[in-house]
Amino acid sequence: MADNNKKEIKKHYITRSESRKIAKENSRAIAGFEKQKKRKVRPEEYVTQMKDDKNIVEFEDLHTYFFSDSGTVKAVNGVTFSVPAGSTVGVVGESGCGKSVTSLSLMQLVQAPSGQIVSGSIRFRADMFKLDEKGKKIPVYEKYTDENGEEKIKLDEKGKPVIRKNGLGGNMYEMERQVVDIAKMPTEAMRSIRGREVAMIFQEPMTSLNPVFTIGNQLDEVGRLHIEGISKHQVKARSIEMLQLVGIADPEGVYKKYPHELSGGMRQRVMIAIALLCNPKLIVADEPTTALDVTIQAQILDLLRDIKGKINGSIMLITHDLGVVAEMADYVVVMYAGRVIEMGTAEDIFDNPLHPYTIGLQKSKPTVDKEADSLYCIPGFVPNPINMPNYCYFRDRCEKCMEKCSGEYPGLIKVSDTHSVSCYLYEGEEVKNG
Amino acid sequence: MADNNIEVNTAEPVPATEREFLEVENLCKYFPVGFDFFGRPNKFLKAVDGVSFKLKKGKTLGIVGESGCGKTTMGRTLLRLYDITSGDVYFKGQNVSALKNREFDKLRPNMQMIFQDPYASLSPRLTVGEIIGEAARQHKIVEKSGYQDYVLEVMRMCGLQPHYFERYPHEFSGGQRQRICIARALALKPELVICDEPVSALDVSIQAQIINMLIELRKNLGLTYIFISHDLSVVKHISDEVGVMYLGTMVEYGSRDSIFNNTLHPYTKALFSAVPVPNPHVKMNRIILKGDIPSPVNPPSGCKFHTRCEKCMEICGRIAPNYKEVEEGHFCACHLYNTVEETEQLELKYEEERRLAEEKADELAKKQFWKKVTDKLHGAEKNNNVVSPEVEEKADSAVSEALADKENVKDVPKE
Amino acid sequence: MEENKEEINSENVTQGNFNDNLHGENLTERAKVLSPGMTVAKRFFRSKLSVIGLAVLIILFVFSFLGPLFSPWSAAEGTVKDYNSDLIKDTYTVFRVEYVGADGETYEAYDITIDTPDYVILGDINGSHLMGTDSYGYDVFTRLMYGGRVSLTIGFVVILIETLLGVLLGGLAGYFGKWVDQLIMRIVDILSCIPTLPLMLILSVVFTNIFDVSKLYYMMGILCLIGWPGTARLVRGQILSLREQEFMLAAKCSGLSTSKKIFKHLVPNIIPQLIVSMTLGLGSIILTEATLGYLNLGAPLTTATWGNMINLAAQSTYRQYYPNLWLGAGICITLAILAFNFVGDGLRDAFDPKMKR
Repeated sequence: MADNNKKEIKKHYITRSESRKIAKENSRAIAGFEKQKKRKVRPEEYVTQMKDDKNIVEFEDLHTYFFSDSGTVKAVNGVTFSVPAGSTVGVVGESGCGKSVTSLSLMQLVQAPSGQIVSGSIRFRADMFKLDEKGKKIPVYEKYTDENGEEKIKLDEKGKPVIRKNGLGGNMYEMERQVVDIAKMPTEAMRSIRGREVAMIFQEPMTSLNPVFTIGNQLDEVGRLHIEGISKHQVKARSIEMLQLVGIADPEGVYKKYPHELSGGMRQRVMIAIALLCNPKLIVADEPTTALDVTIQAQILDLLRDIKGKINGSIMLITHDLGVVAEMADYVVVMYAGRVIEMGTAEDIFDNPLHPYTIGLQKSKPTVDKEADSLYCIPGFVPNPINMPNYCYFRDRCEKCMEKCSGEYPGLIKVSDTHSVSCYLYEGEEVKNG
Repeated sequence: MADNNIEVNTAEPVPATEREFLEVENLCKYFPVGFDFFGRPNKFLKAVDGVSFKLKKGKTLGIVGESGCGKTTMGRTLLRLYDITSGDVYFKGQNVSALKNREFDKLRPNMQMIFQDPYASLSPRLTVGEIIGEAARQHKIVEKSGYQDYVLEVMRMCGLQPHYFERYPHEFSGGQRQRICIARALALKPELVICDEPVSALDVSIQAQIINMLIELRKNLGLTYIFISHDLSVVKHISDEVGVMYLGTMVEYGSRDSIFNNTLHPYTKALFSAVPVPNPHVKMNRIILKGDIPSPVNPPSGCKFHTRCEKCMEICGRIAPNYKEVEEGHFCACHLYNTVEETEQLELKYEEERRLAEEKADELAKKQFWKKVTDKLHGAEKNNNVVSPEVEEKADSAVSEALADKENVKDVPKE
Repeated sequence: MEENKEEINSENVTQGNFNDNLHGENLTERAKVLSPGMTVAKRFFRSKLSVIGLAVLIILFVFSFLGPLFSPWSAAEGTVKDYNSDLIKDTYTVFRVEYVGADGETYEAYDITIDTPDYVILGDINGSHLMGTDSYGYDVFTRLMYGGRVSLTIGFVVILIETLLGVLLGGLAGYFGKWVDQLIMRIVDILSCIPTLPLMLILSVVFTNIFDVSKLYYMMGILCLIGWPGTARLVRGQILSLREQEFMLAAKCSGLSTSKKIFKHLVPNIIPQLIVSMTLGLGSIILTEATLGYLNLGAPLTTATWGNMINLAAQSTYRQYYPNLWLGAGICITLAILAFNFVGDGLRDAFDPKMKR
């Protein structure tokens, strides 16, 4: 027994030579990617076209890997989906399925140097600043017509031209609508998108606010950073307006408070206020309610829905809770071990789930209005996406497993206009004119 | 004399045989949060404030509530992981809350706990086998020779592979770690297991496995569970009885069916409606509670829930409702279910209490007034007894009047 | 209860079991992980400085523990030799110049040049004495090896005793709290109030009359006394935070005995921090030993330590003209301390689970 145990344990660990090999490969791969990142990228290289103009974000064949000591973790392994403008897309999956890494890739926040976007593209439609030859932003000046009927630029007392103000109270610059590929974008250019065009809400409201600054400080900081030329007074007004928008009853009071003086729900509201500060087009909410109580969760979800209508943006909601997704999302993407296994509208996924994993997930969740003696459960564990073989990752846990499943990883099969699934069960049910 | 004592002691409590498997009477746990100058606590966080229930052997009690409602503290206080502030716990007829720590340690194998966080609750430097078997060896539950076989048997029962025996917990995923935790509890052959949110840190597909396993084990080993969770659907699935807690008190308690089919308390109703349903067609009529759960250090007066309750009445802000049996076996603490007489009684009681309180306050004010007046008359500049402004004012006017009188008196002989 | 268990033995109750009978290999089991030791080793060797430190340490250990075996000399063998007699006095060359000033008078001017002769400043260096011999005729190179032996051994013994004391008392203070904590920590406070340098100066006077090895033991005792409060503080702090962890609640819940709770659950969890503090402490103990040696509180002359070798530098003649006598010891001390610090830093990073890179 003991000998057998020892053997099993040995089998479980990486041998020294394997480890050396992994380290060698990792350092080579990382060096390559870092070199790529450091070189100068011209805007032409990352400006592309959308496949479908209705979308605001399109992920295409995205691969994000982590080069860890125990091997390459393919956290996101060929993910393709899109977020239509003005809609909520729910990304569902269990821990380690790559849903968070997908969102971090979108923000270029993957922990480098071990984490790298290896290939694929993330197309995002952004309002980019127009740049002149020197690479500076082009301001829009305040103009007036003088007595001769000529249009002239207004000058202030010091003789400097006055820059027109935009809706938020900042300087107005010439903008252009561009589709950019975030996977290829340099960090420098990404900085103007992060927070301004895409904002993120994190899971832990307890740790995502800095404990030594007041709420007002943290809101103002974001405002000053992204709204250039805004006055101190206006920033404060804007911050308080945002706090009010997220349903905080006493915005002036909360403005002066420190994060530890607020409850979890309030902090999450503040996080949402920070995210909304610059009128982003897309809000990425990474498990925004997981750390909260049900009653507070209901409040926050209500708020998010409300906000979406107000700012006319889109939400990418990442969660493991099917209930939350059903309530919030228009489209649902189900992920498993770094891959999209099923996607479609919320109705498609919840009324007519196709992939055995999706079906299993829905069946295994006990609900208040359902009576059952024994819960359905998916056997086995969520795999650790290291050294994945090329067959369906769900094969070992699947009850409908066939012989064919040992073959290549199944591609996405489009079963209706909106609904696609990656499973051999539905081979031949494809709709051709998708 | 000695004989008398014995008689008194035996006459009072209910005989052991008549007690249920587990009875909790008026359990309280206060954590001191404020201290005066001498380090004596003067402010308390009432985490558990008067909880009572009875539980039959082989049944499962589900405890639901938001975070901060004291459900975890209650579980831990039951097992005396925290010292009990007041109240009694009877386990198999024995008052375990009165036992000395050392005596209680001998009973510990009978009452085990499964913790919420499978990552924090396993000692990182011990092997899985050691974690599971260590306590069983100490309590001599298993012979030294059969030790390894016994541990492997328990591991198998909990769905753990034998070669995990010599591995360390950090190599496992959350689900497997929770199995290790369950195995550790079961290795002591307990009768009562308190499950403190055992599945809330786990993935959905793993949750179902663990819940099924717990149900299976209950059936096979005849276990009694107290299942603490914030997830109503899980509680409904596993429990026979359900208790709903809010700010340290039980607001509703009853059999599962009566709680879920005939919800009484507005808080329970709100909790139920807040659970998101995985069905996009159900657009629920949500009862969205306003605000956050109040701080248990400074709970609202009257009914603790009245600040967030949508059915709040005038009486709720003043008088705490009785925790009473509304239907058979279904308890609830809410003024909505008061009969007219009960309301009258409560009002009378409230009036009485208020009168007493006022009298007390009056007396205090009087005392303070005289103290102040004498202080002022004696010209004590540094008087540190702080009083309310009214008393101060009254004292001032009294003093000035008295002084004026004095002057008058002085003036008379002069003329 | 017992019967119930027997029943379920026959059938598999858990539905969460693997399907691995179906497919042979299982996806969950497929991913191999690094064993705990290997993870630490990998992180340690990633830092170049710690590797250098480790290499230097190994060289020093081989040099001082194996080196003497190959030396023809012993630590105290030789004839007394008077280095001062070898010294040659400086010669003075005087130039006299006569010249007529502006006033018509003749003046004399002297220019004195001090002529430093070519000394054989490195003493008696020859084929059999690689670094020469000292004033007692002892071979310096051999003494350096023996000195390393003693210095390193003192370091290890002191740090071990210190850590044991610290873990025991700090552990008790942290676990029991209340008056035990008060008592132990106040002792710690008092001990850390004592200023180290004046204490040593006083002791060096007290111990001037002791000439045998027992002086060494006194020194070790003093070093332990000075050192353990630091370890105790560290251990207490760690245990205070570990005590609140859920696994300690679980241990309490299963009714484990107090000694098991402390020494099986708490102490193993602070071993990484202890190893780090021990490695870093070793360097400072060697340094203190050298300081004591310099102050004549160290070992007697017949026992070579790096400390009492460097003591020679206190005399200006040796310091100026015979660096061969003390420079070796100085370099060894510097190398040892640097190496211990590098290794300590490397270990700290390697043991820290939060360090990703």
